[in-house]
Amino acid sequence: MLNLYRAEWHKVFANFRLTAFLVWIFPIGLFAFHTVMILLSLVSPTMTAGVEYFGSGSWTADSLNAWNMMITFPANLFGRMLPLAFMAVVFAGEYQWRTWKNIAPRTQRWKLILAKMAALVSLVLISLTLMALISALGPSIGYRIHGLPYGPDLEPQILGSFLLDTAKTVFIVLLSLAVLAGYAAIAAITTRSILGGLLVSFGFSVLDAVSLGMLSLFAALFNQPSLINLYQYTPTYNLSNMYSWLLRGEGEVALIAGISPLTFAPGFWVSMLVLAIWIGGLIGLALVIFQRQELTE
Amino acid sequence: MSNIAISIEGLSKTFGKGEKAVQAVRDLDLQVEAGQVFGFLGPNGAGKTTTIRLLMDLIRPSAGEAFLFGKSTGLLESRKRVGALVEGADFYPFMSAWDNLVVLDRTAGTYQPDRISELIASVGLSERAKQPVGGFSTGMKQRLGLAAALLNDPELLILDEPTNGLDPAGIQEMRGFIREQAHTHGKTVFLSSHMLNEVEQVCDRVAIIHQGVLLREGPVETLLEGEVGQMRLQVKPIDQARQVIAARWSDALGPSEGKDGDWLTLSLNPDQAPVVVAELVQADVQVFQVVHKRQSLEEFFIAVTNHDREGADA
Repeated sequence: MLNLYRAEWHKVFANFRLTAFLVWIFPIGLFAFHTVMILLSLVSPTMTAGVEYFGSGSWTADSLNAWNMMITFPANLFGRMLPLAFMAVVFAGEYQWRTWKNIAPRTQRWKLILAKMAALVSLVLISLTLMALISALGPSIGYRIHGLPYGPDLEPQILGSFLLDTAKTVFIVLLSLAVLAGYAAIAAITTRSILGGLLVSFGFSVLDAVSLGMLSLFAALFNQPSLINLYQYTPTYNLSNMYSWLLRGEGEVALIAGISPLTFAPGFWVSMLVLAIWIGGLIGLALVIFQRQELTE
Repeated sequence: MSNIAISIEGLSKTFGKGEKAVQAVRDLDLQVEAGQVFGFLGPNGAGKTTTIRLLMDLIRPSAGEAFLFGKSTGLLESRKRVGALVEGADFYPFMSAWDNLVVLDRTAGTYQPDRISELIASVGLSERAKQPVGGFSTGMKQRLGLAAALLNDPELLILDEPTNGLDPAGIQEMRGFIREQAHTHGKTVFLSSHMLNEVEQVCDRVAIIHQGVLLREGPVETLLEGEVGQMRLQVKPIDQARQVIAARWSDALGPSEGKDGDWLTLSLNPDQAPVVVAELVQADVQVFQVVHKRQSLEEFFIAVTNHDREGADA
């Protein structure tokens, strides 16, 4: 299985244009952004405020916030698009390049899908890790240049707590990426095309992310307020809820202030179970469809 | 250990359902012994590639079953003994020839850089090994496809139209390559091709499939022996010879040929030659030469598939 994982890694890594545009764009884009902000702040006094505007004043908070785009609504609506596109293109690419016929007879099909998912998820995780580092380093340099306080000090206790919070966050992001890998695999395998894979997986992801708004609309239309509680069965909610339990010690109730506060939040393990069912169901479905699929190209 | 490399039993494959259903392969029975070079012939759309895809478990049969070395094609352990080039060589265009082979090798669970170097050299791609496959010609891709098929040092090599895109020199090289794989390395070769001249020269046995149905199967020599060949006679005077032949073998009489129009063509078996000559001599016709032309595999193939087509039309 390790060789298979390395084969998939080799493929995605070698597809430089694709990874540069859909994966490395996060750290590269952020690096470019912070560099420009710092340079502008040096030449224009009015831009000095910009450095402060885009940083929270705390490297721990800035670093952890970088991961948020994969977890909570509404940031996840857009944050998940590029990793999702990357995954869909890689899965569908095997149909476009007519390469399944080369690799499928050499191993078991389920292993191919799992190895591909593992390689894709790990590559996106590396990109997000780099982004989290830059998210802390960029403002840190900008703040220090202008003599602004940027804490907290790097003490063992602070570092330990930060690393623990980061590990918890990465765990949630990992679950989020597993959901995306499931969406992408199902979309690409069923449509057998890059465009179809992109559109269908985007459709899945958007439905998931905006399900709260849709359920609120239906609740109002049919005068059934309890419909909103269905939101608690979606991946987006359970990722948010688990994240809230892990980092704040309480469940997620106030999703978006004033729109549709839920009456209660399920416990961490309930959300974990719901997510496990989602991830197992999505990946299992992708495996079953691919296992039964006729590779005619 | 089974001496049968490929065993196909009542294999059928239908694509689609209802009125749109297309039966690509119908109740196919075939056996290929280990060590043979087996030619699998058929016109476009005959079901050759579908059969190969079924053998590689890329698609699943509607009925019947196929075995590789006595084990179901669905089992990885049976496919691990096979190397295949299926319907053209397709690779990741953004990767080099070397990287493509590394990926395929690792997918099979191994990593043998020495083997990859050796195979790339054996197909003459050493100088282009590190260049992206996207810039390769069809012939170069075919050669890389061969290297890919040989990565796992298979006992059975399945080649689907391996000469597509090759120039005459490449075709000759391919013929040598197939012979070498069979005779030097002892591999079984299952070769699907349109190049009937090539097949006739390298294959021990052939099967002809048309519209999904197996029409003929057997050793090349045996198949051609059973068929009526062409007898050509140089005679004088030609008109009298035509009268003699027409009186007894009118159906076999072909047009006069040759520079002076003194050659007669007859569709008769060679064992009839003494009788024909005796009749002509008795009628005061001078017979200068008798030449028997054996039917080529190409002529045989066209005759068999046309006959089947006419039968289907009727």
